[in-house]
Amino acid sequence: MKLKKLLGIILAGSMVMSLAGCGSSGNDTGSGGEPAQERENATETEPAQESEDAQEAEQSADSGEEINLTFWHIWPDAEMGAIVDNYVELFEEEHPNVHIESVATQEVEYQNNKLKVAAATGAQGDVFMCWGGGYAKAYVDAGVVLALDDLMEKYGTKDELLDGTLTYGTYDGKTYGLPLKQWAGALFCNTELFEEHNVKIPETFDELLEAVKTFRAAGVTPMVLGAKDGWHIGMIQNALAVRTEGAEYMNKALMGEETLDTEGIVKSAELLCELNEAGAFPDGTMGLGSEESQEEFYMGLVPMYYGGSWVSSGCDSEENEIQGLVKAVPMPTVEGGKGGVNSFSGGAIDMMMINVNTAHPEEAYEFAVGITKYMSEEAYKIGDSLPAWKVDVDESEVSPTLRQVEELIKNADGYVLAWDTFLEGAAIEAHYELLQGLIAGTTSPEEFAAGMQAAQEEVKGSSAE
Amino acid sequence: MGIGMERALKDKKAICFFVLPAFIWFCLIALLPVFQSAGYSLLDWDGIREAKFIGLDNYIKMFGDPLFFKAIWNSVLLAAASVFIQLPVSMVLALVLAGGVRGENFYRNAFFVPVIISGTIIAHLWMKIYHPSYGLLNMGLEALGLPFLEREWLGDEKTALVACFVPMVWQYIGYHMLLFYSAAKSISPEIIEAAQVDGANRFQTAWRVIIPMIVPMIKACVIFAIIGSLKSFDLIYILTNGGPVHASEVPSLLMYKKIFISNEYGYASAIAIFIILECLLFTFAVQKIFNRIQKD
Repeated sequence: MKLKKLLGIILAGSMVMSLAGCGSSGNDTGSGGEPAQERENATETEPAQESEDAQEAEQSADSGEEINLTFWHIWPDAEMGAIVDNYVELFEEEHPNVHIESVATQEVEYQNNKLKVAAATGAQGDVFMCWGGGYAKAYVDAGVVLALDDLMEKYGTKDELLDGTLTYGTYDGKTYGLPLKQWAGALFCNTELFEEHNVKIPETFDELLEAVKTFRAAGVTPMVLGAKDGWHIGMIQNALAVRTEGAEYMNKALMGEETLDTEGIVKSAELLCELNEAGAFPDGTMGLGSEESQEEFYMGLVPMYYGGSWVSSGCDSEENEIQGLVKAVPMPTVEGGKGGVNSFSGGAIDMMMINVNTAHPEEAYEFAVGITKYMSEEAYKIGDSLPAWKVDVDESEVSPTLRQVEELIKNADGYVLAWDTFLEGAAIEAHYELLQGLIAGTTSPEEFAAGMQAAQEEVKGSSAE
Repeated sequence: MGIGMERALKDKKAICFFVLPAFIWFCLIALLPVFQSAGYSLLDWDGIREAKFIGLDNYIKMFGDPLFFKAIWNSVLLAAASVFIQLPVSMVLALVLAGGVRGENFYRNAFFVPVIISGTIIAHLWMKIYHPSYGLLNMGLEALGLPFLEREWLGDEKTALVACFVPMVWQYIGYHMLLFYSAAKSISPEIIEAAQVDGANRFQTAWRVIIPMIVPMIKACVIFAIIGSLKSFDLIYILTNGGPVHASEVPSLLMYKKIFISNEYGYASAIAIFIILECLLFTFAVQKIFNRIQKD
C-alpha cells in the first residue's frame, strides 16, 4: 500500500515536472568562474600530452586547416539576415579554411534567455552579439568574455573607430566589445498629417502638448506607444530626463555615482504623465506591444513617433505608406531643463564580443571586426542605425530619414543610453514596472524616482558584496 | 503465456528489473532537476556570477511579496474557472456528441482544433480579437449598437485577467470533451439501453447512468485542469505579459521574469518549488475528494 502511495506521488509529480525543467535550465555548472578555469586546464594539459597533435594543428593552421567558428546573432529577419549572410560568404571566400556557422535568434528571446543560459557555462558562440553597459557586466565579471586590448593594439583597430564608441564595451579599463552601431533618439513626424490638421511641428514641450491636444480633438491618435513593452515607455521618459536633468548628470546617476531620485527625474515622469493625460497615446496602450503600435505610424495613421534612429528604416521602406513624408526633429526642449536641444538619447551599446573559450581567438577577432565594420556600413545604408566605424559610404545610398537624424546630431554635446541597457538585473524590471505604473496611473512621479533609486541601490549593493 | 506472465508479475525482482530503466530515466530528467532547483532556491544567485548560500531568505522574501500572492490568487481563480466552466461545458458537449447527433465526427474534430493549434498562435488570434481600435470584439459590439460595452480589453486592469481566461478556458474545452466522450462511448450499450427500457429520458440517462460511470475520467480531467491552470504560462505571456500593472500575473510568469529579466535565479527557483508543492497539494486534495465521492 505504501508503495502504491509512493507511486502516486511520483506520477503526480511527473505531471508538474515540466515546470521544474524550466526552473533549472542553467544546468550543473555552479559558478560562472569555472568555464574559464576549465579552459585553462585544458590548454595546459593538452599540449603536454599531445604535443604532436598540437604541432600538427599549428602547421595545418598555416596551410589551411579547417577552422570552425560559430557566430551568434539576432537577425533572423530577411533584410538584416541577408547582410549577415553576405558578409559570412565574403569572409569565407577570403579565408577558405575558415567555416562560419551563423545562428540567428529573435532578439528578445536571445537577450533574455538564450545568451544568459549559454553564458552561465561559457557555451555561447565564438563570436556573439551582446549589449554593453549593465547587460554584459555579469558576463565580464564571470570571465566568459575575451578582453580584446592586445588584439586591438595588434591590428590597430582603435584608429578605425569613431570617438566614444567603446565607452560601454569597456569594463575596469579593459575593452570587451566591438561596437556595431550607434543610435540616437528623435521625434519622427508625419508632415502630411501635421499639414492636414494645421499643426506646427513641436520644438518645445508646450508645443508638443498643444499638438497632442489638437490631434486628439480631431480624433487622431497623436503618438505611438505600446506600453505593454516597458522599454517603449522608457524611450520617451528617458529622453525627457535628458532634457530635464541633462546628459552629464544622467550618465553619472545611471552608473550609480549620483542619485536617481532628483527633481529633474520626477519632472521627466511628470511630463510623461502630462502627455498621457492629454491623450497622447493610443487607446488601450497598456495592452499593446511596441510593434503593433508602431505599425499605425508606418501606415500613416499616427503623426508622431519618438524612437531610436532604427525607426528610419521603416520610414523609408517601400512597404510602408509614409515614404518621404517624415521629418525627424529632436525631442522638444523643456523650459527650465538642464539639457539643451543638442543632448540626445543614444550611444553605442550593441556590441560583438568574443567567447573566452574560443579555440581560435585570432580568427574570431578578425571575423568580429570584419562583420561589425561591414554591418555598420550596411545598416547605415538601409537606415537602421548610425555607424560606429569610420565608414566610407556614398551618401546618396543612405536612407534619407536617417540622414536627417545624422544632421540633428552633428552638434551633439551629450548622449545618454536607454536606461534599461545601462541598468542591471532587477533594476531593469523595476524600471519597466514603474514606467507602466506611470501610464496606468498607479505610480506617482515621486514614487517613480524614489523607486528607481531604491532599485539601483539594491542592485549595486548586492553586486558590490 | 498467461501463466508465465502471472509468474513474472509475482516475481518482485523481475518487476524491479523491468521498471528500473524507466525509473532511472525519470529520475534523471524529472526528479533530479527538482532537487537541483530546491538547492538553487537556497542561493542568492544571478545564474552567472558566484552564488551565495542564504538559507531560506528567498522563501521569506517570497511570502512577504504581495505580488506573489496576487499571482497565486490569479492562478487559483483560473483553476476554478477551468473546473467550474471549462469541464461542465466539455461534459455537455461530450454527452451530446456521444448520444449521437448528425455530423458527430465533424463536431468532435471541430471542437478539438484549438487543442492542436499552438498556444502562441491562439494568443495572437485573440490579441487581434481584443484589439482596442480594430479588434473583432469591439467592432462587433459597435455593429450591434452596444458601443458602451467596448473596452480596452487587454489594456484595462479590470478586464485583462478575464480577457486572458476566456481563450485559456476555451482552448482546452475540446481536449476534455474528447476524454469525456471516449469514456462515455466505452460504456456498454446494454446498460444505456436498459436505462431507456426502464423509461429514463436522455437527461436522466446522462445524469444517473453515464456520469456516475465515468467518475474516474472526471477525476483525471479535474486534476489536469487544475494543474494546467496553476502552471499556465504561454497565453498570458503573449497576451498581456502579466500586465497591466500585474493585473494578470501568474506564478510561472513571475518565475520567468525573475530568472530572465531580473536575474534572480535563486528567488525564481523558490517560486518554482512552491508551484510544484502547490500542484502536488491540489492533486492530493482532488484525489481525497473523489475517493470519498466514489465510496458514497
